[in-house]
Amino acid sequence: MTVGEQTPSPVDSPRAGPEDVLRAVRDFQRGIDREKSFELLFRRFRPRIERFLASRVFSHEERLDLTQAIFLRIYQGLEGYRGEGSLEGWVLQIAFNVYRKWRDRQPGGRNASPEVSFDDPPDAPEPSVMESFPSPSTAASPFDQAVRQERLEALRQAIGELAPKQRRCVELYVYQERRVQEIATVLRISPETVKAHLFQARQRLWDKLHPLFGTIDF
Amino acid sequence: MAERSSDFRDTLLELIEESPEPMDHPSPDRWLAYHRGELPEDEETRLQEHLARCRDCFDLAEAAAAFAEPEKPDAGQEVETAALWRLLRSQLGPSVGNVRSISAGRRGRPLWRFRLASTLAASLFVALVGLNLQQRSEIAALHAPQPNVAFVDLPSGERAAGGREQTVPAGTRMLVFSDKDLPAYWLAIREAATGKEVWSGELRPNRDSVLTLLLPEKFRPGRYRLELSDARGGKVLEMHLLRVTEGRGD
Repeated sequence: MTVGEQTPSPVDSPRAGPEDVLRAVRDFQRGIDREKSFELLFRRFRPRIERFLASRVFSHEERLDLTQAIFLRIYQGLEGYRGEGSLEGWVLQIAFNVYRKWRDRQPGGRNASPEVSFDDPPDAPEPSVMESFPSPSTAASPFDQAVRQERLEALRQAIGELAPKQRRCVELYVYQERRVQEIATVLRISPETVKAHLFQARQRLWDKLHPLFGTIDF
Repeated sequence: MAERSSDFRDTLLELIEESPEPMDHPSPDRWLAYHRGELPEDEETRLQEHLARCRDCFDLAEAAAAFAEPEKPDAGQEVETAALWRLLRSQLGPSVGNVRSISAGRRGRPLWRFRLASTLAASLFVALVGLNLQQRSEIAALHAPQPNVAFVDLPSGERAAGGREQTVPAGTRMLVFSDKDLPAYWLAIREAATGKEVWSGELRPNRDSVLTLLLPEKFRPGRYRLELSDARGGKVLEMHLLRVTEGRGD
């Protein structure tokens, strides 16, 4: 279909097809009825963005702010979109970037700065990292190091013997400190299955490792 | 989530951090394809392995899950989307440069957050007036908690039209039919005077082995006949007479 051809507008339908969306992008980039073209994209992607934000941003007002910020970024960047990946993937990346920036600014966000006590004298020397966390190589005795190495090897073997799904659940739960629901979402399994994997993994690791570790607490 | 530190946990973290950090991060398109089940199994496995070490990719993969979900028609959300578009449109100038200055929310204009919230509320109000009564009551029923729901016990044995009539003031009520032993029943609510059916549906015993029905706030006052059958169009096992009156009467 050529640009500018008169066709019934799909804007009123939030379920415009992929061809309508691509045509809207082309029209937008060529400056043809930009507002209408962008409206189609807005109606197409806003429900997905709302779904994405709904489980992460509790405040409705904050979600509206973020939604608007995301679409303004899309509006600003759409002229530069060259179709190297799908439009959906491009929008997803923008939505994710805007959300991540917002999240990292929150008090509990990824980049939350550590609190500083006002009781510390301003010119007090910073505590030495080496004092706080002596490295095993400098502080541990050869015996301690041997024990540590033995534990590491035993754990490596026990983890390697877990079923792949069990191992992934343990890694995501312990290393990434993700919630069961989050793990279920990314592994595309139910939360109950995640719990079952964690339970079975814990049992297996206990059987193999409790003489070495005492407790298997995760 | 694991919060305590322990020998086991510390050793596991050490073990995972020993493994090489992944370099080749999957694109958003790969995560979308992953969530739609469009990738071969070995690639799915590779992506899942990648998640264990890469926090950013985990977050992106989780976001992709929300994007990859199939669309479901939602009248309430379409109304909100339309209202939000009207607001966003006013932020989009004829040029991209104009958008930047407006989105900054400065130069004497009220903060767009404030304008957004208040204007959206007004727009939603106007839009919601346009929704029909059924849609509105459905939305209200879905969202509004209903405290102090009264029970109306309907003991079995009322098998004739001449049985005792129970009076129920309008307002949310839980009707409870007791002493049942079939796996499922069919309930028809009819106008007592005309026999016209106003509602019917299947009833199944709950965990307490009773059949229940929530009579909503807006149920129209009047005299009704509740017919409990063994199946749709089957034999009427019980009949209860119910008079719904105006007012809550709690």
